Amino acid sequence: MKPERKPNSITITLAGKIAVVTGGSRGIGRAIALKFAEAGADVCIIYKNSDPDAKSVVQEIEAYGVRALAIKCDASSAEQAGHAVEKIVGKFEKIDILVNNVAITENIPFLALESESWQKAVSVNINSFYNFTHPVVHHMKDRRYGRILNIGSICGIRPIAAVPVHYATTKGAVNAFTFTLAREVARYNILVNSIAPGLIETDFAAGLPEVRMKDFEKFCPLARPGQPSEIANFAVFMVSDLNTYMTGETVIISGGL
Amino acid sequence: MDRNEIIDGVKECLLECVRAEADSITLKSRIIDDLGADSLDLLDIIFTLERKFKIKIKQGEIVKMAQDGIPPEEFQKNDRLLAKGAERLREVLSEVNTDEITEGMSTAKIPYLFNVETFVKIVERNLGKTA
Repeated sequence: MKPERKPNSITITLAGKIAVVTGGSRGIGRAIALKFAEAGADVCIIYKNSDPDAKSVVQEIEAYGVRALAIKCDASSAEQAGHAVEKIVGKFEKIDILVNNVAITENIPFLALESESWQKAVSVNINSFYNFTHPVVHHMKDRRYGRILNIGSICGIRPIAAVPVHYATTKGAVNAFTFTLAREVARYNILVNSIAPGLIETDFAAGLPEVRMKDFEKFCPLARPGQPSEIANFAVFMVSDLNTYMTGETVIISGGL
Repeated sequence: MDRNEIIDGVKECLLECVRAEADSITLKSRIIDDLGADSLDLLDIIFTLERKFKIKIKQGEIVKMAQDGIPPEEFQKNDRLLAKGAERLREVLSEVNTDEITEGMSTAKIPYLFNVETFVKIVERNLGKTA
């Protein structure tokens, strides 16, 4: 007997899920927050600076008919992150999905890098992972369910021309955080994965000189930077219930770099 | 809740957290050496006990109790138990064979002393606090 073809039988839904996206007001975080909302999740974004950007994302999320919340918070502060998590659980009663996305970079070569810039990158790009993941994992453990997605970078996996050392170092840490935490919390049905994007058209990429962008297009097999939505599309699968067996993995989405 | 109910509850928790057969778990089974628990399992056992018995167990409760009442410098030096520390630990872990707790033993080895009864006593103590 021939198997029946069902062209739309595989769908990805996040209906009923509560998702938290750090650095969710701009760039990749914003795209992920909106894609999650489109897939049916209620979404809370964590942002630090831009109230208008956060407000705009909240409106776009709510336009999908799901609930939205924006919390202004310095993710590098454990205290502020802890309060934010309490507030989210207070409002939504649970957290199913955490996306650790927040990151900063300053385009400074290592030889010119001051200690302050190094510490700032570590503080935001690495400490924020602990600050949010620790309270959220405790919450997920009690519910025996969770999906954590960390946003790293291809520069944390292999050398990419002219990427700042301090930024690449923090992104390399994301991989170790991902595969080690995944082993520790697997027993609680919490899956931890990571996406390592290549160059994506965000504010960071917009700041690159034209000559650098032309070089990039020459050596990137797909000959263009990626769009934030191309990261978000895969992110939805990784945190959905279609993914039940992949954990501790880093997936590179980089146009073939 | 009587002691037998606590013992049964602790055994149920252990079965959730370690790969052991129910018949093989006795009050004197050592958690690490006999039941094969690792450090993650130990933490998981604590979480599971907290959920089942609706109690809150302090991290490092046993060592804190043993250190209670004696100056820290008399408990251990360079991560090795001193005579007074060993004596206090024998009092706190009265369910453990006293020969196993010796002056000079590594403090990192303290969790290796824990047996099923150790956790029964932890639950009893904490139920007493919440009652």
